Amino acid sequence: MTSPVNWTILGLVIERPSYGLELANRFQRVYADVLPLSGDSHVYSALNMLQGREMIEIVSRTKVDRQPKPHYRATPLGVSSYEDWLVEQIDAQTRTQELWVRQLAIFAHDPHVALRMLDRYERRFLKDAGSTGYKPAGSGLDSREELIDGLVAEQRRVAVGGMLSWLRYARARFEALAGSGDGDEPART
Amino acid sequence: MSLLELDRVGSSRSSCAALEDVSLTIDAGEMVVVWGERRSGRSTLLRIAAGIEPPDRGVVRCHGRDLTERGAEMLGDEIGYCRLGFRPERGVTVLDQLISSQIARKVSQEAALTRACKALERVGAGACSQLSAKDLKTEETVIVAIARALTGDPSLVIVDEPTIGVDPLRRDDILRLLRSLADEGIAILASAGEGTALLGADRVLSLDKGTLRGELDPDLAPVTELERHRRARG
Amino acid sequence: MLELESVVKHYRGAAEEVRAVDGVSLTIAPGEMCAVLGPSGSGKTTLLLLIAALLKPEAGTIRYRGREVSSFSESETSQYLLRDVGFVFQGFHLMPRVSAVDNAARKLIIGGLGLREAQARAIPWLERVGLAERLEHTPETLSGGERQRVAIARALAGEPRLILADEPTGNLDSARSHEIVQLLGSVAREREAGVLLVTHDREAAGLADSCYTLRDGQLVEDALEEEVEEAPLQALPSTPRSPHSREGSLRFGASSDR
Repeated sequence: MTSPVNWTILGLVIERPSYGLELANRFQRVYADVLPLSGDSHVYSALNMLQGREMIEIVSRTKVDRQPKPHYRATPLGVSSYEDWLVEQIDAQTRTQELWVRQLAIFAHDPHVALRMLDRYERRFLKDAGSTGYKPAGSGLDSREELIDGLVAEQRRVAVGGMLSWLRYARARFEALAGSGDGDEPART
Repeated sequence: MSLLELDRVGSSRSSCAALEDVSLTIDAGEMVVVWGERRSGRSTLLRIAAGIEPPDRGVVRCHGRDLTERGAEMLGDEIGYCRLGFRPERGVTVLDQLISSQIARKVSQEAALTRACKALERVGAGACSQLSAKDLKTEETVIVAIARALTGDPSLVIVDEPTIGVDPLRRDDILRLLRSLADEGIAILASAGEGTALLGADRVLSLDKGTLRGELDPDLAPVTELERHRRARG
Repeated sequence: MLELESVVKHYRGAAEEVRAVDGVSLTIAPGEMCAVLGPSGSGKTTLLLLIAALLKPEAGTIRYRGREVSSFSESETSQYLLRDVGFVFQGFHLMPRVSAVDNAARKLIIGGLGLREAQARAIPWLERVGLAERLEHTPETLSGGERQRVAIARALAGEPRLILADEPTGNLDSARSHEIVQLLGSVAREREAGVLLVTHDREAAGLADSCYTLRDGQLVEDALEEEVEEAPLQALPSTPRSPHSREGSLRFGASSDR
């Protein structure tokens, strides 16, 4: 099961057991900006899949408009699988970053172009670096939202700092290449 | 005319922190952070901007006038430089320090006391006023240094690494304080060595081996106008 | 002269709230010197700053000669500090490289007097504090005790009605401390001024007409003499320590006021 949507829905069930429509609404509220869905059907099929893998189970059926709706909660297998999956995401992030670096490095044959790319990357990072995660005091968030906000903002800022450091290193490497007389003309900046 | 302008500033005093062709302008109410690793020249840049150290090349202007001409008396008023490492005399309280530094600039005791109280209240360090420097927590040391700079009623406050060594949960309070000063119209120039101290900045620039990066290219000037327009609109 | 009633001042820090002054009531009559003891950081300075109209209380009233100090405008505060109040701080706050006379005259000059007249008024005070031989000395060439006496002369030269002293003997030996506190007491009586002396020095506090301790933001009468320690909740008229009569009455801080 690789789809992040499935794992995310499992997480929502772990957070608070509930029925399909409520889970779909919660998904929309919390994750819509980072994991957009075209419709609620995705949520229902995820719930079926999770149930099939015994990661969630039905505990009761609430009556909504005279229709019995299944009420789900996570199984111990579901909880431990979720935790394992979260930890494995580190590898996924590492792979994404490495992919990006290799994609950039196709310019290694032309250090001046590479340096120009690094400049553009840096300006892009700096462009909104200051406003990353900045919300004025009293923005009306509840404490859980504020916690998530803080964690996300800190992560982004750490990433900005980390990238700026990496750019220094990369620039130094390419400048060394450019300076070792590869014969290319300096590109226009 | 900008509040502060560094015009092609260069410095070779310390070979590991040389500055090369640095140009930068700061306007009222802007918070500008210069990001740089160790030995990138960021402390040198801030000292030159504050007029504490003269540049070897280029000019620094405050309200259009060359800083080296105006001399020390201007610094206390227009530009407040936060000395974080200063070690005051034993037994001197925070309040006393803030008063003494003004008395030395010929401010009357009454005015010095009034401004010191206001500044401490403004930064939220009222509870520290009777403590001596050695009893302050790191974040209190920083906000007291900012208060000290504020007693001069500056248009620009310069602070070198405002969050270094500060408890992560207190760090954002300091940055929000700086942002709130900027919102009141005081320009802020700060340095940072890691990304987390960037919160609230209008512009972030990076310093790499003495060269400043991140200002938009001149031929993208129309975009610059938009940026300034956006900022002016608030 | 000075009346505080149920004054409250809290500091809201990031992590906690500090209740520096938590329901303090106090009266100082003309001619009276009142000492407030307490460890550093206990809120004693906060009390002084509230009386000086430099901090606003959250609750309570502070009246100087009937006027509510906490509602002073900036210019009223300015005038109050210049004309009515004299400060003596542990840190002296003397201008470096400036003579004792000019330091002592500074406040008068700011108040609008010409240089000559200000100096003429400051000199008798410098003589009174025993610095007749030191008029031209700069702080760098004066001892700690001498510097403090210049600071006192500066505060008194303005003929204030209310003298606020924050650890004035902090940097002095006990003989000097004694002299200075006595001097403040004499001046208070002569000029019918009020003196509030904030200190951690029990000996100095013993020279005052009345003595309190600030503990947990509240004022408790301090039993410095052999009197039986009274319950802090009761308001009792206390025995005057000086032979001079007093008009004012003493009130205690304030669990009973809650």
